[in-house]
Amino acid sequence: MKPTSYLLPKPADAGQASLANGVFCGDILRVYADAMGGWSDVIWFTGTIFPEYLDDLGMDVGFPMDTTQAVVVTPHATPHGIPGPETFPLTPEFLESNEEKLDRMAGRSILAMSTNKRQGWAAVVVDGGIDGDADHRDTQECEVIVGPAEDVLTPELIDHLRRWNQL
Amino acid sequence: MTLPRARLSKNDDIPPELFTRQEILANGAACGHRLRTISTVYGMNPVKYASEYFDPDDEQPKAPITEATMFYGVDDLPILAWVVNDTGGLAAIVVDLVERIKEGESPYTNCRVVQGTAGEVLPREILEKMGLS
Repeated sequence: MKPTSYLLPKPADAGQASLANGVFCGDILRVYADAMGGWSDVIWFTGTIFPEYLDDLGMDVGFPMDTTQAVVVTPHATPHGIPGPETFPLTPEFLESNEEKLDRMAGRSILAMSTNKRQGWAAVVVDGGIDGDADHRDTQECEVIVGPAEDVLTPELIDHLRRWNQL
Repeated sequence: MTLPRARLSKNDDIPPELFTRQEILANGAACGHRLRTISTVYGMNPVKYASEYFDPDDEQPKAPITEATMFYGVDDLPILAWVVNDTGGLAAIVVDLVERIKEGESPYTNCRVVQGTAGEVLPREILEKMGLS
């Protein structure tokens, strides 16, 4: 998927640029959940929603470091960047093409997520990291990744979600 | 303001500026999700982003100074995204509150979703581009 960046026309600082990209990723997460159905409320790991879950969490929330077995389905992006309900097929070619992206995402922070208990899948907003570009243009600062929970979440987080009856 | 109750990074040595950035991204995702919910509930058009309508050299679109925006304290703040129905009778915007976050405070509320009519929450330049003026 071509890197996308949704920035203010004249970002006053990196915070504004990140915020604009976060809005875009939050919208994608909702689009995917609406299209597929059966998804939970979104859990935000800033503690603003479901804080009772996070009080004694005492853990890091991150994308798995080992992505060698990861199988990821990415929402299809239109020219305007808004995904439709279609998904890429899980062909070997597709998986190979995503290897670089998976490596880039490994260990990144999960900012927000939604789960599909029936399917055992999770959709996560992952922090894309900071690039070296001073004005943060043409970079992808966050990304929505969807797939089987065991492939896109750490085992520790999966345990917590099952305890919360979210998976 | 209180600090987040969950750490966002796998690295305990995370630089403070990166931690702040992750908070901003996460809060932006929350506002985007909320805007999308409003759009779905009211059957409005897809979410629009400022970067789709304005070139980098254009003047940055900001929330108009109206009774509605002043009530919520979001007048004259950058608009990140918006939704509006065909008639302009319903609209909602995400505004950037970073400018009003005092240095050193947690950026929890660094964006806000505000609803109203298109004329109340959208500036003239966006209304013109949307064909609603």
